[in-house]
Amino acid sequence: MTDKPDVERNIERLVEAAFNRDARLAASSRDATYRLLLADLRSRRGVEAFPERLLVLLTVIVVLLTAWLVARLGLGDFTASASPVLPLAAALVVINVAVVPVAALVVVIGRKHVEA
Amino acid sequence: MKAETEDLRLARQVAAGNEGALERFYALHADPLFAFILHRLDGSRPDAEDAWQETLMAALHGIGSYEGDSRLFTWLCGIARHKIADLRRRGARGESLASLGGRDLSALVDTGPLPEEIVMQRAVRSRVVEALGLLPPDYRAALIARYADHEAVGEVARRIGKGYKATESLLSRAKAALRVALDTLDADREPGSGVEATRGRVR
Repeated sequence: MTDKPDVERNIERLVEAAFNRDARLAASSRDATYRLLLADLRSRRGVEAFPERLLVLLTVIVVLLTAWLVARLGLGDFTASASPVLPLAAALVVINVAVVPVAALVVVIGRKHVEA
Repeated sequence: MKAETEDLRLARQVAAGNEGALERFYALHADPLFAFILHRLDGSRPDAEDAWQETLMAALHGIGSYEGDSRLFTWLCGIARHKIADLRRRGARGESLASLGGRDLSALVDTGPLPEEIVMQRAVRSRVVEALGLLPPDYRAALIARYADHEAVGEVARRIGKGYKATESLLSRAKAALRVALDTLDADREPGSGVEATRGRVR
């Protein structure tokens, strides 16, 4: 007689003890944590998907436009007749500034929606 | 080696932001990881849930650094050990497993019927969970369904999409694989701690 039946029975008992009902996750915890991980994955993916070079380029453009507008304002020459590009530049800078809080709001609401 | 490659592929897909990969990763590892942490924390569920969630978050953030040197579940258990240590430092409840570790568990499995005292040790159970994490997913699922959930072989067969005989054969191979996995874990452990310390009193 070999000890194989004992070995097999031991393994079965160990599996039973290791994964008994007490060691199981509550479905609610399981689902909630998965949603958290998914939200985290999505938020990181959004950040990583945006090309860094484009981000730097956009930042440089907005900074240059703002500096140029401020310079025009300092010269007291802030009319469309002085430069036809002026209204366009002003509109771009204003839109850029206005979009920041809106984007923040969208991100916060989106995260709360995923976590709920 | 094949399984390790699959682990690495899965990790890279998760790191790349693949939601399907995250779902597979979670389906494969979330439950065993919780069981591992729960046993390491002596059954304290609130602490275990905290440590489990922190471990998964840390794993998700660091999964890009996983290089496939060990199995993915072993890597997760390593993170979990750090989180458990953090919990203990913060004063949370938790049993030190150093004197109960399952160093010679694989040998004990071979020596005859295991005493209930050993089977029910949290350290032993966490070791078994860790060893199960080394098995292919179908082996693990079949073992848990059959011996923890007490499903009939026919039910297990339906669950894994195999025939009755094939499932019996798979269960037999899975048990043998778990025995080897326990041996592997024993070999990786540091000397000087183990259930051999308790062997004398339970014999």
